[in-house]
Amino acid sequence: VVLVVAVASLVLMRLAPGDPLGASLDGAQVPPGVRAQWRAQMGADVPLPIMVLRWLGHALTGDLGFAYSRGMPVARAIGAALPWTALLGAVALLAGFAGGIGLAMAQARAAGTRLDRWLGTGALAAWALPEFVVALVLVEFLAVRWGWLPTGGCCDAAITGGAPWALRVADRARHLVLPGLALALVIAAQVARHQRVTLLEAWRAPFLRAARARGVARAALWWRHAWRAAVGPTVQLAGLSLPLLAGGAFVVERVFAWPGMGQLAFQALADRDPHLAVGCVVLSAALVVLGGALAELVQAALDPRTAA
Amino acid sequence: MLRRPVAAAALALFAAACADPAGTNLPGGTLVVAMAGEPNTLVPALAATASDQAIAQQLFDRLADLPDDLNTLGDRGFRPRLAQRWDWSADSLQIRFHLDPRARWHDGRPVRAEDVRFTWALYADPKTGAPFAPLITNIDSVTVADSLTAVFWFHRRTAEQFYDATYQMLIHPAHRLAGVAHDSLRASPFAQAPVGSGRFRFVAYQPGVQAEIAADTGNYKGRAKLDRVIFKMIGDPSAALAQLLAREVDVVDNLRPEAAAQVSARSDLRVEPYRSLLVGYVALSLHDKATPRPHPVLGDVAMRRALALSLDRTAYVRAVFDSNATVPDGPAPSAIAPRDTALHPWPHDPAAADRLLDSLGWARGADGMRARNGQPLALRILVPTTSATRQRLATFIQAALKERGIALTVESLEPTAIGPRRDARDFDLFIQAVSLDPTLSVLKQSWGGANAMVPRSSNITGYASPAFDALSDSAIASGSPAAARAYWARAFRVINDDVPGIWLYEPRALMGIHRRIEATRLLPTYWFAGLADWSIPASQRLPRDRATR
Repeated sequence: VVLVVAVASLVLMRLAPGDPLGASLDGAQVPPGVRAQWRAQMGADVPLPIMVLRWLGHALTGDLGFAYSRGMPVARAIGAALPWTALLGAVALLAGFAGGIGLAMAQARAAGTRLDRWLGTGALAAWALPEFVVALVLVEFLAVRWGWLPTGGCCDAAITGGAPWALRVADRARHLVLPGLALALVIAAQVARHQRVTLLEAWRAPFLRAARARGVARAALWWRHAWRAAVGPTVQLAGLSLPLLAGGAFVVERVFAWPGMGQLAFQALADRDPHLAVGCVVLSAALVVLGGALAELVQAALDPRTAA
Repeated sequence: MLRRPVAAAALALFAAACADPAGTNLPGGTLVVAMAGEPNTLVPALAATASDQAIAQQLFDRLADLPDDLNTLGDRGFRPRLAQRWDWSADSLQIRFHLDPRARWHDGRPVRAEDVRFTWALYADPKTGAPFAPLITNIDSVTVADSLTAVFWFHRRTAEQFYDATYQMLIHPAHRLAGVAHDSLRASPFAQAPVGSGRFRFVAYQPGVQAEIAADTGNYKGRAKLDRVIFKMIGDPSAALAQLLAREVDVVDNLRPEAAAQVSARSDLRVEPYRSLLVGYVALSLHDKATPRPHPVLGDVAMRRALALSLDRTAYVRAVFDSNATVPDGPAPSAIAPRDTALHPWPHDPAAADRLLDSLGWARGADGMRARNGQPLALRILVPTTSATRQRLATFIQAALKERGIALTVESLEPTAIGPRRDARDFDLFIQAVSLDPTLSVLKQSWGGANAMVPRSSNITGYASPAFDALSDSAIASGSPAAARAYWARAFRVINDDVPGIWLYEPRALMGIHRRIEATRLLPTYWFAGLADWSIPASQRLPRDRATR
């Protein structure tokens, strides 16, 4: 799958209208001869099949090519962005799933009441709102107007490498709050919608009626029995969300100037940097495949009936 | 010898402290600059974008700096940098540059004439792919007379020999790059940690996050007045503005007018306008795509003049830029254009435009739109989606031409998609914005006949005028600055008459900046040219100004 995605990306990048040296040099007076020289250095002047074969040959040895728009090997560019996205993705997924499951549990336990409807409407609204709207609202109020949190970036210019370890961690955490929250809100809403339905289905299942008849405590009924039976689809959802850890969130990373994979991929596409764009796509595709497989493994462990 | 710069710096600090007992003028502080684009390279020879230049120009030195009045003719006003002084040969075909013996690379090695010779060879080698290599072709060779004297030999006398030798090249350290193949310079270790001789030294570059430079405390030209400069990578203009308003960055360049209003409203920020070398114009395709055949509509100069007469450029520029732009008199901004009172852009004269269109046989139909022999008068204008100003201007032009009976379709495309269309000359009109070098000789690239039919050249309109070429060649070859200016003025009159482009705007650049920053020498070439002399008074420093690594 990853190989197919890689080849398809290379072909599409080449066929798409645009010039690898067009965007970043808009207005710059780089003469045609020099541009031709740069194209040759990029390997962008060879026929498509040769380019694809060359890329595959190098990729098999672990060389993903040179990111022309960044002046460094693709692996280094991705290596610099990946930890930031992994950090943001992990925080957002943990917060989003924890929040979403908690919200769903509150809704399910109050099913049919006014609280259930309010929480459901709120979750639906958060899910329906585009991420950039959520992000801009958070920036406007929590950062620009009230100044509680930084508006963007991943670190404060004043906190240098020589600063105490704890101070640096606290600084990263402060910068993580807004982009993490913007992503987590949307994830939580999505998870809550799924989880509420499956929780209520489980609640009506015969084994739970039996447990209730045996006098099992209500909290244990919900968390130990109902949630365990209902968590399968949520685990699947978590597995499918794994690419967020590597693929990044284009919009949120852009709005918050978060230096992750989303920004990197966005800029690679904008600059028509073929090797960098394909590197980002390949990584994301690999994570989708890996995420799906992991989700199936975890679900099989939780519920052996689903194991094939 | 190594102690001399340190001693000089200590003496300078002592002198500053004596003159300023409160210490308000002592160097220090951190400047955080929002950078719109990631640098493509940190190697000056390969630097093409403003982001590349912003860093490279702090780390590396030229032989001499351009004067503030942007004179490029002769050597009048040029300020010594790596070169302490220079002499011309009697026939003006060689210049001997005498290097400052105090100059040191940031690794402590002295800067020598061999570095200058090496740098020229690096720029001139086609394998390097130096973007400005075609601009130094008048330099025949560079030789080393002694360890501190480099001699430039020229093919021919021109008014801009000195500018060619000093402006385009930042001097590279030969001892660091001697073993690096020129075609793999971009991927070399030097590109990751450049070593220069400028008043700032390289500290760190975190891709996607920031690049950091710090004052070279023992620099031969004096310590930079700031401790550190951090270039934060913020690709989204709205995010950059938000960070400025939240005081997370100190400088945001190229503010949009509406953003400038927000910045002006803040007591802790200010808007700093400065002249730029950017000029925006409507390029008119003179050929039928990339063929030698004339464009079926725009190939006729009378039609091009009718278009120019149809546009109320002053009104459009006012509507789009408020008071932050003017209509240029020619293809270059006023900062470098020849002073010529006889130069006037075509006036807004709809009646004259109608008369010209009628005389060409384009008659109005019942719907008010023009046609000739059954062919409607319809054109397309190309604009990049990334430029809100150019999009708005295109809308104004569309409305104005509709009133004259000309149907104009606006084609908005991504910049990467515009490139191939522009290169193939697959457009009728194209709103182009070009940031020029401070010399008029670059106009030969965009408007010179030699490039008219060269694929992918900067001459996208295919304009070729023997009169313009002769006058611009005379200006470039002229040994006298006064004569060069006179030739350029005549060349501008020729191109204005031929209307291969309709000059639209030359904007004043707007910079949002924190009030505590004392910014000096915001030059039209590069606003960051004088960064080493920017300062932050001690009494106004923020906690981040006192942070050290």
